Amino acid sequence: MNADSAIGTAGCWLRAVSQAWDRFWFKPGLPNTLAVIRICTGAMLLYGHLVLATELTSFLGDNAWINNETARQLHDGAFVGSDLGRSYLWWISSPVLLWMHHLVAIAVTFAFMIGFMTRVTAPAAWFLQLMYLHRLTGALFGLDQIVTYTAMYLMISPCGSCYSVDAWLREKLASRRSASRWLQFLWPAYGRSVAANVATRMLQLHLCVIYLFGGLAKARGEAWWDGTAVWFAVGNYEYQSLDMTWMASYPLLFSALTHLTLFWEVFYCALVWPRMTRPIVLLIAVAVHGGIAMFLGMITFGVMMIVANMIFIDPAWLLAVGKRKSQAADDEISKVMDEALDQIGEDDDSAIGDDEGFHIPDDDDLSLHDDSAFESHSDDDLEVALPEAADELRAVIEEREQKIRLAREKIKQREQTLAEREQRYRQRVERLKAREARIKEAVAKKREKNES
Amino acid sequence: MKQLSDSESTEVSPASTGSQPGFAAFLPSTRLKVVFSVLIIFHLLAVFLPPLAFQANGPFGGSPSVGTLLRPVEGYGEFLYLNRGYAFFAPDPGPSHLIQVAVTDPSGQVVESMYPDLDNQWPRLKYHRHFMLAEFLTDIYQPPGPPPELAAEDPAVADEWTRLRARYEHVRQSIVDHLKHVNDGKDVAIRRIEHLIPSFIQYVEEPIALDDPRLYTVLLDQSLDAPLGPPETIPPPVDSEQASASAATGSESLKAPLDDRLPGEEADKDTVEPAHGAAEESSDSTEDADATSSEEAR
Repeated sequence: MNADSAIGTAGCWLRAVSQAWDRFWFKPGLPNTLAVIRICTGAMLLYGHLVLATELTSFLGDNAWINNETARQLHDGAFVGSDLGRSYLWWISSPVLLWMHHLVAIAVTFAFMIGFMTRVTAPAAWFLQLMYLHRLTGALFGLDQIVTYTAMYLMISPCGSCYSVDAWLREKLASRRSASRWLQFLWPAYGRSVAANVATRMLQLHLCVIYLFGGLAKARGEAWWDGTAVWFAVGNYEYQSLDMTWMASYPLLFSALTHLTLFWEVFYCALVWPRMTRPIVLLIAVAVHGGIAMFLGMITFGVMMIVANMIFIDPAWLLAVGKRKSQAADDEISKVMDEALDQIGEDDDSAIGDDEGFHIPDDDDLSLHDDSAFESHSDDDLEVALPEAADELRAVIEEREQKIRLAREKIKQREQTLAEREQRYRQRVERLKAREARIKEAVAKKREKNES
Repeated sequence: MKQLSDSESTEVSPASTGSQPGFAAFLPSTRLKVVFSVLIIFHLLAVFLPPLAFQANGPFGGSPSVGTLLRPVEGYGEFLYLNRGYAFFAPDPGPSHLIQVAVTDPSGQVVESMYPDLDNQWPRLKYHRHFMLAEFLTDIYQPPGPPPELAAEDPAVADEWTRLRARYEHVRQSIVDHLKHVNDGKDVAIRRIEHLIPSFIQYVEEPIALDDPRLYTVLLDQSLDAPLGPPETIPPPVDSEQASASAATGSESLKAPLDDRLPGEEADKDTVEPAHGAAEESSDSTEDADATSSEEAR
């Protein structure tokens, strides 16, 4: 191989790498999975803040387990190296101020969870959480890590563009939004975006790092190799939430679980990417973290890790499931509607039966009967007779209306795009016609010249 | 909350993204892609290197190459709380560490309690926060010292010893102060407890309750050259109601105030009378440490 071909091969390889990098990071992605994770992360952050509120001054302030001064000294180099894990909460001593701050944190986190002003509340919720972390040194565990990382990546994504109050406001105030760039930023349109993809990739890679080093750290211990680690985990009284000590009689079981956990953690970062192995890896994740949640007393941590693993779920799959559910709901609603109509029909039939049978009504009876028969067709009567059916019908109508509104907006956009495109084609046709005319003119002139 | 319609879900096209404002509309140019790529790599290094540095540690300190790579992203990782090792239940799942508390009122009655305690800390997340505090106190434990010969041989190591000891004492003092505050200023003493886990062989041979008193041992706060005594076990954890009842009857096991020194050794007022003297010593150490760290910073 000569130097030129070697350089050419290297160039090809670099181009391929560059294209793969470009695809991996900058291919626009849908925000649906991120939106689901936003709801779960927001709920977990909110729960954490509410639990902290039950003993706020035991964890924050000058009389906390770790008081303000000690918390500060743990980071500012008083004892060992200084670090940048800083928090303004080190300086807040007043319980009133601490409570006001905490109420703001709860409100912001709630807004983040429901997707209200997500562009603002997502970074705010993350920042407040970060400040709590740097203040609560000594009282933290895995939950705090994963929930903070998830919030951090959600912050850079348009995770509030669907399944959110923002999405609802975007539709309700569409005309106002179209006139304001600020509102367009605040309530981003639903669609594929590079930001959604970058956030997804970041969290995916971060999870891979967590599992890789979690596995490598375990691989340094003996118990993860001799198969006893799971026994020592379930035999830990302080962690235990369900008594699993019966496992002591089944060494085959707990040693197999130990080895499975170790290998799953170490190889997670490789096996979670291929489509073929991904479902297996994610199922084991659910089993391992579900086990931690149910048996080792860390419900919050276990649930949050399962939520974080959802980042590997393709939004298209979520949408497909949603679509199937939507179809099922439509079928169900149609069934309810049919039943409601049948019911009405039966009422009518019975009324007719009465009329046609043995009773010949007088005018008053008839008018009364007619009225009641008429009323049985009204919404009110339907609501009394079949309240659930009425609710569902109303929901169907509202949903249909929303769909129609959305479709109308989309058609308008499409129409505008097509109009612009048509305009461009027309201009191009005009140019081509002019060119054709010039060519014809030139040909005619040349022909005349040749003839002369 | 709004659900996506079918039309939305299936008709998302690049053309539609083009009309979106903000991030969603953002399709970066090649130059911007390069800038973003650099930022992404920087962040990924800050994610990857701290746990690597955590593992790449040995008796001679950290790996020089990992340390060099880590330095540019260290502060960023610290601020974002990325400086974690992710060593959950690793390298081996071990025993738990608890804090046992004795509160003595002016009449001399002692009430004991244990942290964490499922009966008093609910929901589970609150219990876990207390559990982590107890584990933290043991994680940062540094015996009294340094030994005089170490100070002569290696002043830097001796200095680090002093600082680590000061950190432990400050945290312990903070915990004692908190407990005094919530107990109306009564005398408070604490000691660290290790809760052992029987091996599965022991458990099968002799099934034992996981909260059996034999599994709890006191972790003594003593210098490395102190004579070793037999391991001391403690009574099983009692909830506060039981403790109050036994305190009222003057139960023998609760008469002596707790501390974490050798059995038979005279109780030091630092611990029982919580540690104003110790705090002063610790404060001095801290000031020294501050001065040293400032010099290092310079």
